[in-house]
Amino acid sequence: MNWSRLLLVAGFSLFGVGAVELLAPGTVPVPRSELLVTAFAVATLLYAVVLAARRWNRQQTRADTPDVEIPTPSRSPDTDRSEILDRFPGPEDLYGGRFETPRRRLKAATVAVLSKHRGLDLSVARERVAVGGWTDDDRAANYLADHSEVEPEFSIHRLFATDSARERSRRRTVDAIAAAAGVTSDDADPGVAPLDGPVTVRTGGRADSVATQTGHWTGVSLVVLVCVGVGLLAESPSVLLGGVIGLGYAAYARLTPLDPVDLSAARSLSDTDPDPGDAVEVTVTLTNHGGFCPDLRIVDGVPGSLAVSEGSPRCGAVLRAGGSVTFSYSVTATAGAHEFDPVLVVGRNLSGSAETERLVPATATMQVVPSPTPVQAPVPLRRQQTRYAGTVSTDTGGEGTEFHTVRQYHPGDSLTRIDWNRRARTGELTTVQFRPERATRVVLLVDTRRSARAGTDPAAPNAVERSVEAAQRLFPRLLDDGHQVGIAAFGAGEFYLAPDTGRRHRKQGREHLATAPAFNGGGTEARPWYWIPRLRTQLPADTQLLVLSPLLEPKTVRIVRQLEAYGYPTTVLSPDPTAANTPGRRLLSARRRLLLGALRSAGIPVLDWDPSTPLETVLRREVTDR
Amino acid sequence: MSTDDPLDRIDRAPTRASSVFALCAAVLTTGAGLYSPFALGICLLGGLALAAGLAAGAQRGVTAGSGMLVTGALAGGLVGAPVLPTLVGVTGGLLALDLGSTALTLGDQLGRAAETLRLELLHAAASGLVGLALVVAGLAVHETATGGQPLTAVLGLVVAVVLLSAALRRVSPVTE
Repeated sequence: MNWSRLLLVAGFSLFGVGAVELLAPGTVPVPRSELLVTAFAVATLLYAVVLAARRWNRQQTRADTPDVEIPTPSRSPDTDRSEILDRFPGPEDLYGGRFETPRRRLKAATVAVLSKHRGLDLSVARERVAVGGWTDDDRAANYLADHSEVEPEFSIHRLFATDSARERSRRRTVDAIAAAAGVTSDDADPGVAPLDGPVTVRTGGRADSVATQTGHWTGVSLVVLVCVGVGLLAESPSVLLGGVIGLGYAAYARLTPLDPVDLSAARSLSDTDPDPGDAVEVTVTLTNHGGFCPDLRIVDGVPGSLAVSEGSPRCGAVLRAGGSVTFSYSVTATAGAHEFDPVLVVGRNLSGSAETERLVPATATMQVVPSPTPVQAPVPLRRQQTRYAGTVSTDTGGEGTEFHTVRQYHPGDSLTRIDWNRRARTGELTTVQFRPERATRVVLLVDTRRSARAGTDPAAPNAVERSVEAAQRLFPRLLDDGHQVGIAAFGAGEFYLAPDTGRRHRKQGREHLATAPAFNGGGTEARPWYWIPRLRTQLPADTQLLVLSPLLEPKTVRIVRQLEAYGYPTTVLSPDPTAANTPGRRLLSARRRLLLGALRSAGIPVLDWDPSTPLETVLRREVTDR
Repeated sequence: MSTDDPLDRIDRAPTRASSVFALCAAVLTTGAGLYSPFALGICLLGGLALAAGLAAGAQRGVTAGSGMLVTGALAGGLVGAPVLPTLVGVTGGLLALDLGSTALTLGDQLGRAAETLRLELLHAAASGLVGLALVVAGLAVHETATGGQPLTAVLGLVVAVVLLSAALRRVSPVTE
């Protein structure tokens, strides 16, 4: 600061000297020398070169604005291949060897897939892999075969075996494993391009920034120096005077102030309680309580769960003191509780040389509760009974509609159940027994953990959204069937609605599924050893569980097995979030198939739900399969 | 940005109004470069670079294009263009930088769909008026000092200009 003051003082005094000399030549004793002029010009040009070199890589800076128009993209479960292999079920247990070399892990995965999907004995599968006869792909077969391991240490092969060649072998092996697991490779369809980096869709989570220089006018002082240097050397008044323009703009850039931005915001929604699919108009008004704001760039805090359907939630505005600006746009309502984030305002000074970021609070919430249509197919539940009449057949005889057995008449049996035909034929008095149809107690247990928020592509709904949507349709259907139905989320007391019946319960369940934080991307990740015992204390006895989970990890399989072992007959409906357009995704798909198989072999029915299949088809398929 | 964006994000290309203003400024400079084919050539190249930078949304293109426009204007001055066209040419080049960069940042921060015209008009008007004032000031200096000034006076003024510009580089519009 002192240095710049010194420069200013020197500059202004020299200006004065020049002016005096202009009006009365010869007043100031300055040596008249062409050499001095040339030396000064060269020095100025050198300064310009230094400045240019220093600034060469300096970029202009500006505040990034989030993509508020789109909903949060689904996480693609396309993780690193070695990470997928890390949690690949081994041939004998759910958890494969983690600390093995990539080749050994691939080998174990191959054996596991062969024994599961081709029904081979473990020893046979191992033998096939060792001799390389398990796949048509020679490269993959060779890579895992035993003889490739005894390759001499210093062979020509080794010398030329680049990592990329090895990498190619691994990729081919992964494809062969996926093919053995029945995952059809679909390289022709490139699918959806992966995202080019993280995507921010909310203004929330940001902070006010201190004012920063944008570098908008970078290069102007260079123009001044070049004009002066070249103008003096070439003795060209036009070029010399060009420096005046540069100096003027430099002063404009530096001297226009950036006043603090003091705004308030109000947001109104045309409907705070719309139905899903409705277009809701959002109107935002910003009022200026500070001084003149020549350049305001406004981005509204659209919730991460909503998509803008019409108009733009952004606006560029010029606000005088006390002035206000209003803009509006429409969002498409989707089921859930949506909370708006603060309005992001980026303010600049008139010349655009400085910038500041402000978050202006404005609260608004929108609750969208869907009115789902109950699924039009019977929900395949496990056989079990409670004392309530219902529709699930049990394995004991009694009253009902489906024939079970015939037994000897006991006094007190209903006359309608006596087998009168037999009485007429043989004179024997017998009673027909039917399968009593009983209601069960079902809890829909939704996997809402972060790992489950995966989808086939970034724009597709993630597995949690699909699970919640399915739960919305299963819940009324199960109630219609006369069951007591409850709802719970994975995690410690995240959400629990005890099984019950009745109209109030039906409404409650529907609202909770739509608006509870656990189903809206909120909630914490709890350890299973903590939340499972807590869930058990809440669940009444003889409750069945219908788990909705993408089943991407061995951990989930263990949780489901544990629940089944605790005496809750469990059925799993698993929305499939895997795609098949890259080797990594195919490997993940193969892993998920193994995990599904592991559950089925433990006697737990699993309904694999592909995104393109309607829920009804999946449920019916399960019923006919049985 | 691109049509194959899986997420259907907004178009963050440079805003139209400021892009057009920047191209107008480039045309102004090119017109001022008519005095010599050499200068005209540089200006045309600069204009092309600017247009390419705006089309691609690249700051480097805009900066390079504006730099060439200024160079073209100065080259015209060197080969004998009068003061007024040179001053207008330099002003046009700097305006192209300012308005082109504004189009880029506004496009990046607010996108093309947002309502930004008022802001852009104000910004262009302010920068244009400053440019006009500077051209007038330059002409005034030229008129008051038509030949025969002592070299020392000119040197004194010029050194003052350089010192002031160095001092300005240390001044910040941001008060801390």
